[in-house]
Amino acid sequence: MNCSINVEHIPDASEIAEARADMCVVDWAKRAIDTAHHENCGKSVMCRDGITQLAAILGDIVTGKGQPDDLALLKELAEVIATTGGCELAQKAAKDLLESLRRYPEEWDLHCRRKRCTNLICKAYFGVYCAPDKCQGCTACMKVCPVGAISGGPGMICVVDTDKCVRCGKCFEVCPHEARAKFGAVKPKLPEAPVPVGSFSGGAAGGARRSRRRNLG
Amino acid sequence: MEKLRLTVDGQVIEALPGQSVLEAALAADIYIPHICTHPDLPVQANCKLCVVEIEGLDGPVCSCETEARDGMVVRTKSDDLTHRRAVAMEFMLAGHPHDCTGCKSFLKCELQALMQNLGSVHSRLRTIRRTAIGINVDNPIIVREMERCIQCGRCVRACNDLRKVGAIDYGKKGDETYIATPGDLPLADVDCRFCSACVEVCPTGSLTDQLGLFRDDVPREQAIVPCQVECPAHIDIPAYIRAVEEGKPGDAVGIIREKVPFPLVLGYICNHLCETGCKRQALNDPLGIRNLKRYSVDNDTEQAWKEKYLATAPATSKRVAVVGGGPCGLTAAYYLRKKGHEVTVYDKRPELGGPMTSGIPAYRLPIEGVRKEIQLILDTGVKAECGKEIKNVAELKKDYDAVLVSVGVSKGRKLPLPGADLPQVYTAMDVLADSRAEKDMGYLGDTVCVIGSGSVGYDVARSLVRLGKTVNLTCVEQAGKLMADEDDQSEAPEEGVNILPGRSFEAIEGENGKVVGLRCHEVLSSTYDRATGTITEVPVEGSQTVIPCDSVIFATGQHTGLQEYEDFGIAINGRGYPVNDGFKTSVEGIFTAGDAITGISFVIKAIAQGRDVAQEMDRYLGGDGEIDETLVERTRNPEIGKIEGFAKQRRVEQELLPGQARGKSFDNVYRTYSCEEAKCEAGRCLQCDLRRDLQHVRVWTEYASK
Ligand code: SF4
Ligand code: SF4
Ligand code: SF4
Ligand code: SF4
Repeated sequence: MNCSINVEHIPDASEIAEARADMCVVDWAKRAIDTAHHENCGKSVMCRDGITQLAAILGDIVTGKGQPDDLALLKELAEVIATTGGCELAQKAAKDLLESLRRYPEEWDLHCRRKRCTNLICKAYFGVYCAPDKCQGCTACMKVCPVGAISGGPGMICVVDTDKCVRCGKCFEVCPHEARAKFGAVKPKLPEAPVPVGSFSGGAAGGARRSRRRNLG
Repeated sequence: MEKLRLTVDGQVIEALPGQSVLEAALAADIYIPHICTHPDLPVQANCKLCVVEIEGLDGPVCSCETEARDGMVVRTKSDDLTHRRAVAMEFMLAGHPHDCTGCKSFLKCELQALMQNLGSVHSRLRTIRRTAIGINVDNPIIVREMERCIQCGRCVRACNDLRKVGAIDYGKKGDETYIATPGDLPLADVDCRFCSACVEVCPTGSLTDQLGLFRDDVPREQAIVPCQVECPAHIDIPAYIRAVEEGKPGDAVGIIREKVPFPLVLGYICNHLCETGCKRQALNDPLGIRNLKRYSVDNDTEQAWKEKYLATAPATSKRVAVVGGGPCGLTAAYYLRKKGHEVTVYDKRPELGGPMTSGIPAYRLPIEGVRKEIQLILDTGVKAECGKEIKNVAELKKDYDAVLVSVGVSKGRKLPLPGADLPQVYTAMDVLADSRAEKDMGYLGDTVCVIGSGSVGYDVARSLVRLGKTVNLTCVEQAGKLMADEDDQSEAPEEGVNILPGRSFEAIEGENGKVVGLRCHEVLSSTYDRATGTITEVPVEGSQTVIPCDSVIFATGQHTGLQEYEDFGIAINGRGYPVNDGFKTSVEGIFTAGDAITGISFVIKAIAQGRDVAQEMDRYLGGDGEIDETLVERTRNPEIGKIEGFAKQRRVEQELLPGQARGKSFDNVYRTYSCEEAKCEAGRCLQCDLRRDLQHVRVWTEYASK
């Protein structure tokens, strides 16, 4: 059997030839694998069970459940899939994963062992906050948040409940004052509850950036 | 055909052009692990276990989809191949239950065997929990425990490529693929033909036969065709049903005649044990197997089987006497004659056939047809001595190399009631014989009482109603517990038989030496204790009556009558049956079979006994005992295709003539199937035998080189 159905949905490895600040190479590889998982027809063990397995491991890695041996395991399994004929969909996705692993070992290590994502793309590894110095209390973000994670009111600096927030990014899209931001390992100093605009002086924008610098240490 | 030569693991093997490397290796007894490949199904190269290295090729390839070529050098073992197979197995097992012991396929499972072969364990990979599947028991025939499914696709190919039914395929829910029916509907609703090919090819415990569907005391190969197992003569039922479906009733008769010399008799009156086994009854009703037999015989115009059927082996110069020309004796005579022995059948009656010509009434069995079947047996050279009573078989044996005592149970038994010795008290056997011989039955008077609720009692009652008598059929059994089959019980009253169940008999009343009535009372229950011979009954107070009648007929059991002879030449037990060890009697060379050892039974059982004893006697006479023969060549088309509404098709019954008309004539009470009805009924068959054509897949332990 030799089947190339749906292979066009799998991204080309050239997309990660250079590191870019607006993407995560782990997330990119995961999406390639997830796409193959979604498109597979079930007829080849490499795709049906192999890709399913890779997707499960990757799912763990980007949600803080990665295990020390996972990177070696991923590589071993992906190599078998990539070099087994029959299903081009699975082969191409596995090759994408191998390429990412080969080019960016530190970033994978960061995800797997230290539970960090350099560019704050992987949702488990960043939080969303509202920069108190930029917020104008317009409440636009509150209206779009699908889970009601934002508290505040007109003229109040809003506050995001990190436990509730699902990192959907909708608030980023609507904030007219570019007050929405992400943080990584270290949460910046923020008001605990909404306070009137202008009344908070503890924090400054860039908390996220500082913590990132520390992460890359 | 020219053969190719290739080297596999250093061993030179031969292959046929077009064979795959896997096929060639397996044929040469070299095992290569595989699970999605099945010898009867198209190749899919889906499990990736059969990978091999081929000199000159970059990287491993699946041997199932690589054609063998002359001079090819193949390696089936290397560290890389071992690793690849291990990973493929781990992938499959990640979503598979970890415990085999609770699985119906435990120790019969190809996957489990493969796990041993490859040393696979469930361990380092993530356990995949599947949600789209579960145990599916939407039908009474196939159990689908899909959590054990590895999606090898064999079932899908069996159903689509082999059977052309298309009841199952790969399906998808979310990101998960699984083996699905269209719309996830029950199998019956997607026109599954319940051929169970999918079950047969499934290498795991995912698809299995519903427990209890098949007998487990016979080899599986036989058990999967339950009608044939239940038939005492093991007639190739699916084959003859197929012949009917294909519009070849003559072939059907030939197939039946391979096992029994009385297709017509069986087609009309067999008690069809086969139908009690029929797998189709799990869906709705069993096939009308008996009725299809009758249809075949009634429509067999060309009799193409005849020449082979009558052919006999070269003469052996052995002489056999058969005492008693009923179904058992005549069957044995036929097969012994076929084996080349000289056979003479002795019968004390003026005509051969036993109950077939002297007992079973014409409205059930047309006598002309029976005579034709007997004539065919005589046409093979069997000699008949009718009207000749053998009083001592040991004497007879002096002139023969072997003797068969197949006297049946032709003597009726009377209950020891006061008045039972009056002249107008008869046994069913005598009355049926006279009726069948169309004698004047005036001697019975106008009103009769028949005692006994078995089929013989009904035969008498229904015959006499047809002769214009007023008939009371009375018995000790309570209503609803009568012994005859349901057809008799429902049809007889419609014809005018008066049924009086639940009676205990006191005496036959006579006046001036003539029967005037049967004195009895009603009972609520009556039990007979065999050990002590006592009857315990609960009578209905004040229910004593005398049923007025001119004669009384006992249909209360039969016996051989052998104890009436001074010395029959072989040991006879207290009940009048030959003392026997299997088919052997107390005298060497004298055998016995049929009702003479089993007691009263059905014609098909007697025929089966006749077959079996013929084999034993042939061996005794120096033959090989082999009596099976092929009269009709078989073809089976595995592509059964889809039939809309297949699972819901109900059984076609033979038309029953109206009760009043029936009660006035000895014409057969049923009308044989029309051609259309027969094809329709035959088309309902699940063709359980097709499964036997699927090859057994050898697991690794069965290969010389693993
Ligand atoms: S299908 Fe085979 S491997 Fe799976 S549980 Fe059953 S016996 Fe074990
Ligand atoms: S049900 Fe059996 S034959 Fe069908 S895909 Fe699953 S394991 Fe294979
Ligand atoms: S038609 Fe036969 S092979 Fe297809 S699902 Fe039904 S039983 Fe299985
Ligand atoms: S379905 Fe057909 S082959 Fe199967 S048991 Fe019934 S009659 Fe026999």
